[in-house]
Amino acid sequence: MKVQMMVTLAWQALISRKLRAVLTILGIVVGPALIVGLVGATEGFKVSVEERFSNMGLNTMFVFRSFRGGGTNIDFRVVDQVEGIRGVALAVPFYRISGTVRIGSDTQSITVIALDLSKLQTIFPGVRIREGEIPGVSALNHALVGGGVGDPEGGQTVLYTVNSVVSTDFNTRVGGETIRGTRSFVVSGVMEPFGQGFFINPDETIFINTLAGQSLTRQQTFSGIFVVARSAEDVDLVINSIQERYGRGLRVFASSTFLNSIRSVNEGISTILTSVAFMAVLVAFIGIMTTMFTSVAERTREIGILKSVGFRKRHIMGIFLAESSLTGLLGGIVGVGLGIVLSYTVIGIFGGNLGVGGGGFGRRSGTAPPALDIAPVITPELLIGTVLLALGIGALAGILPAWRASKLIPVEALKHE
Amino acid sequence: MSVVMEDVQKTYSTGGYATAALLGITARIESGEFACIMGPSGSGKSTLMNLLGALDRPTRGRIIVDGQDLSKSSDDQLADFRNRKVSFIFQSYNLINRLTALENVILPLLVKEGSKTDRIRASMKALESVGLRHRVRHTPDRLSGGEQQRVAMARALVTKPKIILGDEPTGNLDTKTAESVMDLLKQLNRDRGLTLVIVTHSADIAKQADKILYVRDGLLEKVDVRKKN
Repeated sequence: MKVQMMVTLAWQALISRKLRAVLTILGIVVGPALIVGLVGATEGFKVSVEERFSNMGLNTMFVFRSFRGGGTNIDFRVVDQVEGIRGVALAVPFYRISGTVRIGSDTQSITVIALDLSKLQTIFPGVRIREGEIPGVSALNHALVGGGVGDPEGGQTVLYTVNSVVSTDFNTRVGGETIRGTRSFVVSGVMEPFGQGFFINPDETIFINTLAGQSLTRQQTFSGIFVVARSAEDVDLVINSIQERYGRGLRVFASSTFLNSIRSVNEGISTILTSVAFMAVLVAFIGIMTTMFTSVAERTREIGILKSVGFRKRHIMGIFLAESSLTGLLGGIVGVGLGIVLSYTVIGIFGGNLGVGGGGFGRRSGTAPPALDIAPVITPELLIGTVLLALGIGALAGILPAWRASKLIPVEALKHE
Repeated sequence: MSVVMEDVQKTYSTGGYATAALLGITARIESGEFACIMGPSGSGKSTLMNLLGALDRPTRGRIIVDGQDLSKSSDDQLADFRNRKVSFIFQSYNLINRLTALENVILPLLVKEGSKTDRIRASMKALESVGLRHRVRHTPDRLSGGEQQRVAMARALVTKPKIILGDEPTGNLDTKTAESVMDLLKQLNRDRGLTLVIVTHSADIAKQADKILYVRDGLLEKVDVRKKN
């Protein structure tokens, strides 16, 4: 007897008891749905976070003066020392100034970062210019404007274009005093939207040259240093060296360290969720086995009839295995469909709440930070693998009941009511 | 196709107790004979029939059908025997209720080589031969007892067996229907040379047989030969 015939007989048996088949299939659906939904969501989160950190530069570290008493002032001497540390490719000092821009009658909080603009794309590899160019080193009255400056909601408003003027009301502390003022810059370039950054939010930042920042702040000491390691492997070495040399005088934050922590947490969550999903699969296994044992018991006489007309043990076994496998397959297909919906639902509920505060070193910029742009990662391999898993679980669960059915003695089976 | 029984015994064990259904039956049914097995209830005649049809195995002794020793055959060999050489007609018809008449008749052909078209053609022919062409799409619950038995007969005939075994095939039928079923079976015996073995309580049926085996208390009491083959 061909496999196709066994499958046909199994299908006929399934649809003759529709309600039971539907209930058994529903019991299987949960496992595949959880696998696809949760794996898709956690993978999507992982990919999004890694992409975001890659844009910020996985080799990039942020060094700034400790807020506690005894912090080290960051001047050119310190910058040179840091640049001389083994493993450091680049050390770029910067000024950070808080400010606002006016949008009609409203204001938008922004940050002004003053640094050597020629090094900007080395520090933040994800920076792309939508319009214009990065100001030259000597262009002290020019600025590169983040994609969200003047358009914090990310809508269609384009407030700043090349050669337009951006005026910022800023405030800075000099010698214990807060100095306020207004400064205007000619827009040399506008950035593509960057998305949420790490410690800074490039979309709501105006980048200017170091000297321009110095004239704004009237400071000889910097707010911090962007440090780029030669390789990802050198990051820890550099952090240790800085901490050894400067103790608590300087604080170092590396995006890769945070990324590793997030990866670790994500993997832990993923493991727990996947375990939950596999528990659901185990429950499905038991459900299918129970249903198949019931089916064998109810169809004992039918098995006797089939044997009496010449069906061999392997035919009987094949029919029941086909039935349990079909049940698993159908549950798997429905489950992955539901899992795709679940994945998007989970991302939709939790992804929007995963905006990380930026625009300042631990201090909020005043506007709501943009949420992580997450999409679930649902690969064909995940879908096919999950369906095959469900099919396999169905087949496995059917082995014992099918074997029992095949072992029935025809005359005994025929006597069954 | 001859049937040879040599000291056939069958003992059942249930809950630690052994029950001897057959104590040693030695007999022979010649090829093309119409034989009846008679006896009171509990005599072991149905047990003997089940052993002849390879629905069960004897505890001791041998059953040799057309040269094949059923007691030494494997489960697969017995399954093939039930498919190719022997067919059963049961008192309770033993049709599968969720299948149509046609689908019930096709069942034995599913384990043979052949195309779907051939199977349907052969099954339709078998149903026609029992006068049920107009009922092929009916499920058993929409057929009378006589019609169900005729579907069972069609299923028995579709594989062109050499032996037909009937365990009280007319037991659940009214007189008229019982007569028509027996007429059909006798016709097959006469025209196609099928060996026919029927378990029956009916003296009317028995008197038409070539040979009657009387079974009592698990033993063969006597053999009444009516006609020489």
